[in-house]
Amino acid sequence: MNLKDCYSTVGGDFDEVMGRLRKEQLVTKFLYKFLDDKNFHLFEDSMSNKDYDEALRAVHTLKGICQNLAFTGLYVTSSQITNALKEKDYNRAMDMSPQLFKAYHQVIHGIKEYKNTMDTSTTDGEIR
Amino acid sequence: MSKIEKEFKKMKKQKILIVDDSEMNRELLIDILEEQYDVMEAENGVQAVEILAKDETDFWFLLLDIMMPEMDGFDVLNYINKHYWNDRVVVMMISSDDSPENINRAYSLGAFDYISRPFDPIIVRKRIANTLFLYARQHDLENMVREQFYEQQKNNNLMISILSHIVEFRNGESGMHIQHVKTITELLLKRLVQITDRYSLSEVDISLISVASALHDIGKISIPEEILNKPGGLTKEEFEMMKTHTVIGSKMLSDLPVEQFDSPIVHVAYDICRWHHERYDGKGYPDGRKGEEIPIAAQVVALADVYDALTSERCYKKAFSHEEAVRMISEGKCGVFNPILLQCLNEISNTLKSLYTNTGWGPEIEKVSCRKDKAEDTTLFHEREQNKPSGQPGYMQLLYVDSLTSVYNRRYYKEFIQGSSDMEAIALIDVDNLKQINDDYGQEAGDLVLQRTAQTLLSLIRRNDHLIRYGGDEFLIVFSNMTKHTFETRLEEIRQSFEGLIVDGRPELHISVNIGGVYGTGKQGELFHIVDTMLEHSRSTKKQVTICFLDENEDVQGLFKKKEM
Repeated sequence: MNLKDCYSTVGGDFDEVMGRLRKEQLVTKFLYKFLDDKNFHLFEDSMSNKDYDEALRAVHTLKGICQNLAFTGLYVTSSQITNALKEKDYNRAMDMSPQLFKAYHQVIHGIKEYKNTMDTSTTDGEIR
Repeated sequence: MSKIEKEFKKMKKQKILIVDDSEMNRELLIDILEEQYDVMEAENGVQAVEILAKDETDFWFLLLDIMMPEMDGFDVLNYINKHYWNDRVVVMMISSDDSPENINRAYSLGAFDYISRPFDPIIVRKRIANTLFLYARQHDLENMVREQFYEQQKNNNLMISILSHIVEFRNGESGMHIQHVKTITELLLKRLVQITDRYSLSEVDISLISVASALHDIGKISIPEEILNKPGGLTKEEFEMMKTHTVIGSKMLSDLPVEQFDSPIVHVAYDICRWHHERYDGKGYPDGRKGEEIPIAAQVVALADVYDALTSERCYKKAFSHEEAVRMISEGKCGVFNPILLQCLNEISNTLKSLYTNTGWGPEIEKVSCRKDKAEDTTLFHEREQNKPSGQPGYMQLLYVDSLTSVYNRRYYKEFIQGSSDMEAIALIDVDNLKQINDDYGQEAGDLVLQRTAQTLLSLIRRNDHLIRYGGDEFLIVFSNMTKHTFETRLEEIRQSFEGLIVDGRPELHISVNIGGVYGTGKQGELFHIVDTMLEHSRSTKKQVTICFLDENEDVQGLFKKKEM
């Protein structure tokens, strides 16, 4: 699996991100960092605690990251929830949460798979 | 390389602060920028302002997110405005949304520009570089204008001060009168504009009037010296003659070629020269103008002139204290002034008083200025500044300077320093082994040691400090306006500088000194007693500076906190 495959698995725009960041290495670095990003979990926890301000900040930040990494699918959903929360339409935000969950895990799954291939390929191909 | 380019080069290692709550976003920006800039990060507004507050002289470029916990981007902008950091902090917003309200609000709060997500490294770098370049250029232009302005202003002030000193010298007034009038004028005017906007004076006007105040007495150049400097009262004719200095002074200015007379400072100076002896009740001279017919510049300078004349010794009068002077003016004993100016005088009274006492602008100093020995007296003034009383010998020189070491003698101390109320840091120093040196190597060697000691001490004190040979092997240093800490360090420096000091041509002579110090305010006699005790203590401990710090809350008699180094 190469980076381009990874982007199609996660529902992202490979050409857009490469057009901006230009180096696969840089994109990969930030894809891996995304695995550790806490904003999605913060959003989930805040929603269940009905702390909508915190939830808004988290999903808003998530949206920004998606923009930078060109995760188109996850961007669209996080953007919709951000708007819902800004308009204080908490039910709509709640209703869309499963969709966000799905999109988020699709991205995580895709990145992990890509990471696996890369890890294997480097151990196989490189002589240390 | 042009100045602008140099400035730009200097700014290349510009500090950039990334303020964003998302670690990933910060890291992406760091990746984009760290090669060219000195990048720091903050995860919210609170951290950001903490970093900005650390050094108020640093120039920062801020990349600022809007939505953040604790303190958001708008709060940060407000904070920057509130603390007047706008000219050292350039803000570029990071805008994630397409919401124009947020961007507009940020602009109106002083943000310079914005970048939007997703970040395109090329665009981000270019935007930042352009912004910095623009700032560098603006900064450079501002500096050029400022330098030119100051240069011009400096020359103006210099010429005016030369001119007015010529007049002053003839008047036999102490060298500081012009400076005092200028300072008081400025203080009064600044207060005046706080109280009322009746006179619509701008900062530029205030500065013009203050500078022009130096010229108030130029007309005196044409008054015969016998009248100017006559002790005691003047006859009626003499007084009439004296009065003409106002009209003559203003005529000297109005006779200038038109293009010069048209300059604002000459206009203001004209008003001041002509009308600084008018009275608010219309009974002054030369024109008997009344109330607001007298230009405000002349009214203010008149008051400043009277205050300084009262608090200074003149050949025809003694010096009054600050309190007496203010009281006499308020009671109308020295002319009639605009009530609002009297109010200003009362309100700046504390400032005046501290100027009057702290800068030695009081009668203790003015006392020296007696007209009959003008030449010598100016020499003495000059030397006080230089700290070392040398130069042409006059009788002042013989009276107040120690002939062996050329520093001030005890008489000088008694007459000019002892009475000061603001003494707070004094040190007494003696040469430890002078008697031994005299015995072993002869009196001549002892004299050499004293001279070398005086030279060394002189090199370690500042222009406004006084070094006095108090007697025998004892030297007294009176420091002016010194912090506790500096005092301590300075005395230790003095002690150390005698270690390994070699007297020219006499390597067998070793000087060692004992130093006692006292810091704090108290009666002079008490201070001297304490510093003497401290010196005694230093003698017994050897190689130590002993200082006594007077605690304001404690009784001066009890020997406070003893500090040993």
